[in-house]
Amino acid sequence: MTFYSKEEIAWQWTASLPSVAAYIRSFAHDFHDAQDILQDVSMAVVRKYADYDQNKPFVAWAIGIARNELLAYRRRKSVYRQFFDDESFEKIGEAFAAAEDDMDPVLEALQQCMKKASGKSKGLLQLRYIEDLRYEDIAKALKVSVGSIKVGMHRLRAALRNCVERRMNNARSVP
Amino acid sequence: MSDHWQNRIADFLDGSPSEEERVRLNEWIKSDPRNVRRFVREAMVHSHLHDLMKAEEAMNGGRSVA
Repeated sequence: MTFYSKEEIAWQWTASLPSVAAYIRSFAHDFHDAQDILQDVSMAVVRKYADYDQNKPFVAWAIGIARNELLAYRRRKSVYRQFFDDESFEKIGEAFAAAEDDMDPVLEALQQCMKKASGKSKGLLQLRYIEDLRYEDIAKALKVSVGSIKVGMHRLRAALRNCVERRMNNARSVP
Repeated sequence: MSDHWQNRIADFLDGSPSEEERVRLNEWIKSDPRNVRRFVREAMVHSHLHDLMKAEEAMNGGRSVA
């Protein structure tokens, strides 16, 4: 039996964590559920590490484990509406593994773009991402229509998305 | 990509698509490999936003970040 150091597993897991977390959050829309799944995946990674083929990308292997945990979650909670069909589900997992190198640049760009966000925008993001509220609950909390929250979130995301793309394009064009 | 599809992806990630929207988004994802990558890019931003907002909250000692 081969033994692996804790440092080796920890290093690979830490590097892949943002991609695995983003993949899980694509389908587990409750952030608490997503965190529970992520913890289950991290434990499975440690438990099954001896099965990992070192000649293949670690992130693809870890996403494969996350895929199985997500399927178990879908069955357990009957959240079929949070998922696509098997073909799309597989393609998205593969695309996350292939896009691992984009995770850090997107994060760096987003950090800069967030500095420009207004207090109102930060308030919306707080309700969505910290309080984990859906559009309907945000509308109730702010005493406005669901439609206006939806439009506000769409505009906010579009502004952040455009800012991120612009920054990444500028970074690529720097020799 | 049109804002229409970006908004549909955002609604999906926020957990509020109608069944019809979910089915149409599923078909759109399968129709072109570029659409899969577009979905993944939007999901990356969604996930990073969660982490950044949580980090900002922690830095503020749990107080409002707005």
